[in-house]
Amino acid sequence: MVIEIKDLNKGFGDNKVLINFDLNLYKGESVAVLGKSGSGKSVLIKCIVGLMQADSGSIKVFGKDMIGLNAEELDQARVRIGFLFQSNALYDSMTVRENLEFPLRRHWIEKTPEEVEAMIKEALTNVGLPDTIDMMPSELSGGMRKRISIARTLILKPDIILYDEPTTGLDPITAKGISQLMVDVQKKYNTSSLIISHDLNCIKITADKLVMLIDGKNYAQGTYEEMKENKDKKVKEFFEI
Amino acid sequence: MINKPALIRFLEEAGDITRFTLRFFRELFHGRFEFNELLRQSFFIGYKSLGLVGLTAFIMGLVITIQSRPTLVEFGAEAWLPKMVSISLIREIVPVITALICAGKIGSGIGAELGSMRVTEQIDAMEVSGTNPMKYLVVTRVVAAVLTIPLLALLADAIALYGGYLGCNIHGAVSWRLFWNQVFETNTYSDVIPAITKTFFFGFAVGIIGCYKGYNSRKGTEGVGRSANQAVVIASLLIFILDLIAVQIADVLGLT
Amino acid sequence: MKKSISQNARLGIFVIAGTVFLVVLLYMIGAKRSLFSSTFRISAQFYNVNGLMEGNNVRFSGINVGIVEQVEINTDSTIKVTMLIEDKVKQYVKKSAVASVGTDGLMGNKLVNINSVKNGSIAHVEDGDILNTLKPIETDEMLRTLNTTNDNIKFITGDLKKITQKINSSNTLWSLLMDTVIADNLKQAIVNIKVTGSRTAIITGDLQEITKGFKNSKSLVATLFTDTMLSSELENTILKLNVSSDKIAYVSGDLSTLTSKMKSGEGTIGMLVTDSVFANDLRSTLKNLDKGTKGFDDNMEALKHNFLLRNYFKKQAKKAKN
Repeated sequence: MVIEIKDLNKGFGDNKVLINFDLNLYKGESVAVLGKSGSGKSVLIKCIVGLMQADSGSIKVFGKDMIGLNAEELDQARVRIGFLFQSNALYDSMTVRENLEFPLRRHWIEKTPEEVEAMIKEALTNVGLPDTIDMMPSELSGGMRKRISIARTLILKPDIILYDEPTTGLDPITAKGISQLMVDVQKKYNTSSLIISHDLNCIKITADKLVMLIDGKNYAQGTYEEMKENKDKKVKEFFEI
Repeated sequence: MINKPALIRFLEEAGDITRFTLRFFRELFHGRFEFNELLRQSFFIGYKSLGLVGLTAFIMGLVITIQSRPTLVEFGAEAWLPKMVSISLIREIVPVITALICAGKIGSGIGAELGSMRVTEQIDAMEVSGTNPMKYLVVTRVVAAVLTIPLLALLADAIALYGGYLGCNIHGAVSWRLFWNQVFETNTYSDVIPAITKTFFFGFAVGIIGCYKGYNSRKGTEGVGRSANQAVVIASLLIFILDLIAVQIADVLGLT
Repeated sequence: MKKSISQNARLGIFVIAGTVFLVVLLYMIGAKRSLFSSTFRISAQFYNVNGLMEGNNVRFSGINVGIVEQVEINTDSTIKVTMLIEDKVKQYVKKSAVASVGTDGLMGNKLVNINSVKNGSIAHVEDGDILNTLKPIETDEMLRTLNTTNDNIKFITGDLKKITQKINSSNTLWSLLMDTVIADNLKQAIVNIKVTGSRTAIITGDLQEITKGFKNSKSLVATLFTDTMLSSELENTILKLNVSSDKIAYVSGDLSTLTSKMKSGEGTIGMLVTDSVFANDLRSTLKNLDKGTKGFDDNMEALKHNFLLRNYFKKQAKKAKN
């Protein structure tokens, strides 16, 4: 078990987003969290990497609780978690190379320039864009940016990758390409994935297990087929479109 | 939650800015310092603003000289033109104009840049990537602004005085040496030092407000625009308030 | 990487330019305030410093040589002003130099003026010396004096205007202006005066003798002239003649120097000679003088021919013949 979330509570003022949420992610497994917009999916994964502080509950990553860590410990833990942002979060002012170098800036990661260069090349090759190395993010298309973003997530070879709506804003064909890339990466590096999405096509391709985040709870979980057959009205909504 | 009374909103804002400032100082003095990024930001904030600031300063120097001449001629004190112009330029006009130009250019630039970084999750990405965005983005920009705006003001002083020299020579004839002789004779340390000192604070105001507004930008492109706009408005206002405080402190200290 | 190097270089230029200007600015101001040169201290005690402040300039014969370091009240009637003076002027400032509080221009900053005095001591000032002081000139007082002066000037210029108008309307004066032989004429005039002077002397001597003769003579004429009243009158005339001849001699002496000075073209007179008005005046004066001497000659001649004295003169002529 790489991620174990128990009784997680998170609210903004009176608006309780997560209420006693539970989730388990096993080694090599790929779990998709399905939920409506504003249901707290992004909040969930931001709590996992410590971008947001949970109100209560526990989030254990590799057996270590992410809540209450100091900056140094948090950073050590984050190295093992890749985070793919919904809006890619590529640094506009930097080239692709500098974007990919950025996670390696940590002072305790000591790499020679040659090693860094090799890592960047490898990551870019993995996403199929080795020639974009000196381009600026603004020169790239949406799909390419997503791939570069994945490359940046991959550069530290994390054990877990958190995908925040990886296919949102992409056309179906590009979205499918990205989904396929996610599967390839999973296979190649044997990572565990937590995918936040409401794109059923993507989930169908990438996820081994689905978690329905409804009313702030882990409402139901199971394989894609199981969920599709679920008779619960609230679960059914997601598959009726 | 949105429709709070204006006073409450204002006080909350003031409190937030104070908290942000304290956080800035905490980050400034703890842990490592992003020196290369500081250089990069100094380049963008300082060097890239030089043209704009220089042009403004030159025009101000020229205009102030031309505008002051008739009054001095009326008193028969035309020979005082370099002295009067240099005093008003160095003491007040150049520092404030430089700061305002920087509030417009740098403040809004930082506000918009950090705002869009916040909105497109780049700030979050940085944090996840093990780089403290407060250090990497905020500290470097604020320090760069604090260090470069005084430099800009100094260069603007030089350019504005040159403008003043040309202005003196439109109708009259003041030699290059006489002009500078008068400038250096009239201006004392008590004119120059408070003027330069306050530009550090102006730089701080521009940097910290720009960063605060950008860093706490709301979601969406509208939020970015609002951040940039408010950064300029608040920073400009703050510059005048700081100027008021600075002049009173200088007065109390007898640096008049 | 190349990009960032050139960026850094430009940033470097920017930073260096700014810093250099700052350093130059501070240095130049410092140099003006003589903060970076070696200095010494002198002080002076004033009754009133008229708002002199620390940092005001100190001038020696009009050149900035230092600043006022301290202004403090010494006693109820003296203010001690300590000045910081550049070392290099030490050799020029004497112990007898006088300090005064002045103003730079009409409304400018206060400053301390140090001026040398004529025939003062030869010793240079030393660190810690106390200079003599002058009462500061107060602007109010100065303006009051100026006002009176202005009134006077108004009258004078009025008069001058009238004079110039008169001169301008006079044609003879203008024609005289063109004459370039004033000096020669003057010389001639002096010669004449001298001659006249000597003649006068002779005549006076003659007259004295006549009177003596009258007094002692038994002739009718003599009796007529023993009337004491008449004789005393005559004596009086002679006395006057004497005085006038003396005066003429004096005038001629003055004129002599005047001409020599004029010839060498020096001094005010030399300058004034080129001034038309003065030349005119001089011209007419000389003319009058000439006329005067001529008149005097005529008078003397007339006296000779006077019937009362004709006899005496004949006798004299005879004596001279013998």
